[in-house]
Amino acid sequence: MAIGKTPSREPQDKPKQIPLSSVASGSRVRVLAIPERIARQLVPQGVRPGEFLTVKNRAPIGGAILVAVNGATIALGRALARKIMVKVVVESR
Amino acid sequence: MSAAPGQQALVTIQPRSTPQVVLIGQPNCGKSTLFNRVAGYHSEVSNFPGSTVHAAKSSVRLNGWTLELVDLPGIYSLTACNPAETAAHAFLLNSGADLVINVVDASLLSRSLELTLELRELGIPMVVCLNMSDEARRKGIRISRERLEAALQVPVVETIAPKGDGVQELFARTKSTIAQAPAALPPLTWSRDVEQEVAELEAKLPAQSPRPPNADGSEAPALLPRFIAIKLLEGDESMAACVPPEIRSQVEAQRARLAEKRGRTAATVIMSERHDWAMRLCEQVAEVGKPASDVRDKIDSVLTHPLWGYVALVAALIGFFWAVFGLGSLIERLLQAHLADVYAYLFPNLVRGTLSEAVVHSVWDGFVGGAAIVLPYLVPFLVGLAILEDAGYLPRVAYLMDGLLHRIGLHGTSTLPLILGYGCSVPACLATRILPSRRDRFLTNVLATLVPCSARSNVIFALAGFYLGPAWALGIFCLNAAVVVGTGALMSRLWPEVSPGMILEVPRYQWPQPSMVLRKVWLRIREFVTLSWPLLIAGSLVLGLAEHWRWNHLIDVGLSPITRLLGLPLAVGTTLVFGVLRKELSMVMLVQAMGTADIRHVMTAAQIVVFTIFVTFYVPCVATIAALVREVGRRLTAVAIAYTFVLATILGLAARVLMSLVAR
Repeated sequence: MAIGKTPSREPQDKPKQIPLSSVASGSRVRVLAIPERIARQLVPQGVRPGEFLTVKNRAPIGGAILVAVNGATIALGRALARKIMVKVVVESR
Repeated sequence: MSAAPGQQALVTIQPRSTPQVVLIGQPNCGKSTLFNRVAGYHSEVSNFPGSTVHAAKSSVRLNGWTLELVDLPGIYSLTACNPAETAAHAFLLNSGADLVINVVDASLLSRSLELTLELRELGIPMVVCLNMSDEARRKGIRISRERLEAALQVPVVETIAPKGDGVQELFARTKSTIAQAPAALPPLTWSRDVEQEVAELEAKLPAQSPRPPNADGSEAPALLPRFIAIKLLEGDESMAACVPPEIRSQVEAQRARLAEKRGRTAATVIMSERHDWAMRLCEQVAEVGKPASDVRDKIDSVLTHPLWGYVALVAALIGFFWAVFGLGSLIERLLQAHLADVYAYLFPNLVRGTLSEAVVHSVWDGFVGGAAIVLPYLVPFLVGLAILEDAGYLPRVAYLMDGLLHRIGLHGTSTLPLILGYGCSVPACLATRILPSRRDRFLTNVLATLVPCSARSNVIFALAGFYLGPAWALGIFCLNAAVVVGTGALMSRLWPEVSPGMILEVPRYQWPQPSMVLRKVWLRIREFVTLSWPLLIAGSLVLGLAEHWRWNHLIDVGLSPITRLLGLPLAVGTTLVFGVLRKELSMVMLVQAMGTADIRHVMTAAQIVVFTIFVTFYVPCVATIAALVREVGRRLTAVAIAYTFVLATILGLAARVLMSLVAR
């Protein structure tokens, strides 16, 4: 464990983790972590750590998120998307 | 991973006279389309995941060869998440199929191959059906069938199920694969550390693990020790229940060891092994080029747009409503006018008040009720619903509605049963099996039975719409939607639960094929024509005779507390009783009970509104009650029935009070 490590000084090379729910539509992201409990259902549908997703659309007022993964399109509830941690690879235009 | 030289024994199967072939694959990969192609239209097909919720079986004769073909609900993997998937697993593991046809969506190859690899571990002879190869080509994916066949060491056949391409060859290969002495499939070996764990556990398992007998008492076939070992390491609870306690503790120790070595849970390790294998295989057999530009993507970005998506949804619903009502009322008017002339022409000499007149007239009323009041609305309605289903619009509606449904404690997946509820409550109840949580299933079942099915919509269209104007019908539909939302909000207050949320695959749009739409509509209408219509005529006859001998007064008097309370004519009491049998009956019988084809002469506008609202909400029909009992149990069904009755009475009363204020 490094001594004197403060929360304000994060290493630069560490990817910035954000929940999938806060990604703008049109962005391409890479999945970093999925909680075990929901992974059982998500992984067989292709949403797994390491995979790239494209956020196709977001429904308004707490609605679902539509993502493209490996040629398939999957609708994910907002609460679920909040638990999926991703890193943005390509920002939306 | 690669195929190891060691050969594994195949599961021994009891010989049976006709071989059983099971179609299995991921949701929406075209299993049911394929099934219907060869078995005739028996299995409901729609363009949304989870349209098949139970096994459909059919005996099929192909080129002089008879087989029993089984269509199972789609599964993403051999770990079940909802009752429909559990049903597929149970069937696959317990029925002792002679061969599985693994239907693979070629345009989603790598994901589909993960299931293929899992199925392969079962050791049941297998044929891979590479379906939707046209879609794959459009996406720029070119798959080498030969290389895939060589890598999997099972026959691979390319098909386009809706067009029937390759289907002949698929069954020819199936036949020859069954006919062969069962060729053993070499097992796939895993990464060395995982393989060690699998082999160690496999060695500890007996060659034939005893399995509990099936629910129907038949013997469940033995499973391969290797398959059991892998499932145990994955943490499959149903499998763990079948092995002795000392094996269970061994499994836990091995899972912990694997997790420690890999830094991930054993289940994740095994899933990723399969994933890596599938990815590598995919790279070997498929070339991915540039996808052709697809107009469907552009349509989809509009229909799922945060603003235009909702505009399109509302427009679609209103358009649907006007089309069904417009067409229905037009046909009803035409038929009513002409059928009255036909009656006068056919039976000119009947004297009113005689027994023969009562019989002829009531049978005729039952017949006309079906032909002129029910079918004109039912047919356009079912055609419209079938087109929306087959085009693949419903999962988009689920996506759009997820946020709203969250407010009433459900999520978007529940939209599918609710929309199907507008067709018929019985399939809507069945469709709740795609929901993972028991609480969500109960809530959705209750809400889906509140949604007016086509029979009740018929009452709304043909009574309120026809006599008072389409705005009244639309108003009642809106009232119903509000009550559904209110009920959902109320129930989720009483039974709160944080559900994990929606995970729903949204399929590509497809052009609805006219022949498929017509077959589906016919399948649904057939029930009306063969069951409800005769019942309608019989019911009408019973009512006619009861009126002739004045028995109906007993029922009417018995129900008078309700009819009085709602300010309805006493004579409608009998029709409400018949309505529990079939909802259409309450309206068709109304014509009979009131002794006129023009309801406006005998009922006020207020009475028509109150009656329509009451019929829309009160007590589900007998068939729905049976479906509810099956899905949620007797106690909760009784709760649902009591709720709908109280609700209908309150709403009817409220409508009566409101209408009297308006009329004044």
